Amino acid sequence: MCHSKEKSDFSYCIGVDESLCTGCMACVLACSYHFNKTFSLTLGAICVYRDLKEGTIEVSISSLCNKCPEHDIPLCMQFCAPEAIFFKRKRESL
Amino acid sequence: MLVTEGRIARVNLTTLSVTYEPSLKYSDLIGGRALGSYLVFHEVPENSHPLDPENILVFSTSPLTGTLAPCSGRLSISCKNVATGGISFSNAGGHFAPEMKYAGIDHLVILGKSPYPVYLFIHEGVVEIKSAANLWGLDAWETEDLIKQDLNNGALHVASIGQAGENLVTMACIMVDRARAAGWGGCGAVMGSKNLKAVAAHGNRMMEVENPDFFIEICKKMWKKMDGSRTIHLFRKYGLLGTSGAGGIDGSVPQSVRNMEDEVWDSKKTLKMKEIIFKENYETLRLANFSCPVNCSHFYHVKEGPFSGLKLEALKTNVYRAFGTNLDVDNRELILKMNETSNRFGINCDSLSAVIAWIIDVFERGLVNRNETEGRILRWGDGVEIMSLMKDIAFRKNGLGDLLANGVYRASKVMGRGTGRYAMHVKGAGMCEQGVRSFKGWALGIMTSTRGGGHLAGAPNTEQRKMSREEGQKFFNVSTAGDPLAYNGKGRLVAWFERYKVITDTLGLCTSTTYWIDCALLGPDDFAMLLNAATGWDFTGNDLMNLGERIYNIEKSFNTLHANFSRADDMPPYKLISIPVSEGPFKGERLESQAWNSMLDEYYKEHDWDIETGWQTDVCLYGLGLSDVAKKLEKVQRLIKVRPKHVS
Repeated sequence: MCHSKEKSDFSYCIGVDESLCTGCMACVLACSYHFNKTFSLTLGAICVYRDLKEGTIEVSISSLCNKCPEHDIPLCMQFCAPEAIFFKRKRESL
Repeated sequence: MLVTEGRIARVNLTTLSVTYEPSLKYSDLIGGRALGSYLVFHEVPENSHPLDPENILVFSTSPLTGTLAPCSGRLSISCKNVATGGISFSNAGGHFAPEMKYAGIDHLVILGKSPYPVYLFIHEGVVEIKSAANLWGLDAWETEDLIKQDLNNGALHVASIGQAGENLVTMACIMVDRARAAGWGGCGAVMGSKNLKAVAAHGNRMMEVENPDFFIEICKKMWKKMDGSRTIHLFRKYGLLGTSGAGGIDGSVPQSVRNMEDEVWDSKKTLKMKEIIFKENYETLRLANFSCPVNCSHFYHVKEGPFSGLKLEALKTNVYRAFGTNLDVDNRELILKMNETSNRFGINCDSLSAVIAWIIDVFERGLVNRNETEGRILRWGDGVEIMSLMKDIAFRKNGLGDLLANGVYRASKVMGRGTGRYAMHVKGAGMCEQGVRSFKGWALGIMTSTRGGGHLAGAPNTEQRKMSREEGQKFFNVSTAGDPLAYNGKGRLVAWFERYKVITDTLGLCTSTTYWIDCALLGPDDFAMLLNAATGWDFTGNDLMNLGERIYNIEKSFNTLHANFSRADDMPPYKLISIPVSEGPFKGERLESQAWNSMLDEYYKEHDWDIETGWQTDVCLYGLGLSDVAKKLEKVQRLIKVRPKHVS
């Protein structure tokens, strides 16, 4: 669960557990809505690629992500039904 | 661009030309199934065969498609029905529908027949007709792969047919994103008859809603609603098997066994199929349709045995039923292989199971001999023989494959000699359903479905979930809604769900987020709120239900005009009336003729239709503002006049 302390802390960023992601694209739509007030698969900071031959999902979050400063909880997290999106310390990604 | 400001593309494959018109032209129909059924009714000639170039194939989306409305990504497909000769509507999940909309086309209306195999590529608001010479003969999965390779675009989405569609198999379906099927009405054969192998889409259009702040707040609330539902929790954990496969989570749900002879399967076989076993042995990932918080689709990987290496999105309850219980196959990996094979060939598993189960049934009863089965000895549960039959049907190979490819109803007509008694069909479309003797309202909704069967047209599942009298009364004005054995009240209940399901399909929503699953989820007022926030329109829940009634009546009229259906076509097959459930909590249950007829009377009254014939009345159609429909029926003496002559 997100905490505002973590959210405002520059040492945290948004991470994704790809094994939990279901590839529904809701986070992508939510992110595009956050930036543009429109729904699009290309205008946000999140990109989801589903490989239905192998049964794998890859998610990438670009540096555009600003953790939705106007929301207590980033919009992508609010729409992530499988709770695959979480906060992580930036150094974890190194 | 606003979600309502897209385009309809009309593709004439005979002339290889495309014209466009604004979607707003049909805004009173919203989109999806309502638009599809309306266009099929008005544009397909009455004397045409479903496989004639005059049949149209409509791919349609809704104003909610491509947005964050929960489970709003379903693609609706309509045409004249190859199996019944009446109306066909079907829908598929996956991610194709939003992609088509992002590509700038809301609805696609396909007419005519191309002189050579083609596929359509939708991008940047246009439809390009491209040669499919290198695709013809491939299965649906190979087709999708090759289109992506040819267009050098791994992000596009594809709706395609396999060999069954090419060979005009009456139960051929259209496959979307490999594993999602628009399964009903032989729409894959209609596509094949037009020499159309696939439709591919890719686009980057932005979708704007009319009232974005309000819309996003509604969506948040609706997504949260899903978390509170026990049914959705089971779907998330086990997929669709969680509620009704293998006798359901508590083992008490009736099944469909050996050509629907019984509703109780051998307990040892049932135990081999429990949802937990599939989850623990094969599941590698949970998947969801577009913008779907339910994620009922799971990805399986078979890691050992003869089918080692098999990877696929599976296993829907109806696939388990069709290839498991109804054919008496208790080999899990074999069922998964059959699932893959039917996806690749592009065949509706329900109707495929119905025709294979029927030929095994009549062979075992001695009504068909080995000469007629080309030397095959047909037995329940014989996976090798069943797989071989599946292939022969898809390719119309040999005499038997060609015969069975026409579906169980027509095959039994050709075979004759009393075999028709064991043909499980509704209005000519093959049927494989569970619990049809045990749940009376469920059975009624399947038999009266305008597309010829299927439990997602009007069948309520309130009986399976044991709805309380109070809840039944509150939501449907039917206190018996949760009583499986009650016939009384079920006519009203089914009529309600028929209207409701039209709207669910019109908005491109999945039934898993609605009252059909759980009355704590989305109902007509929720639908209206979402639609209005997205479009700025002003629908109420009642307006939507009225639209549902109008469209259901248009579909019913199409069936009367094109297939001459009447009351007799709403009666259950012989087996369901004559052969009772053998054991378990529903032991002895069957559909009683007299009670069925009373239930049917109540159903017709609820729609304002004529009890004696089952046809529509002038009061009903004029009351719904469908005077053009009434006049067409009057011309062929199929309109029952009950209102006084002085009323115009």
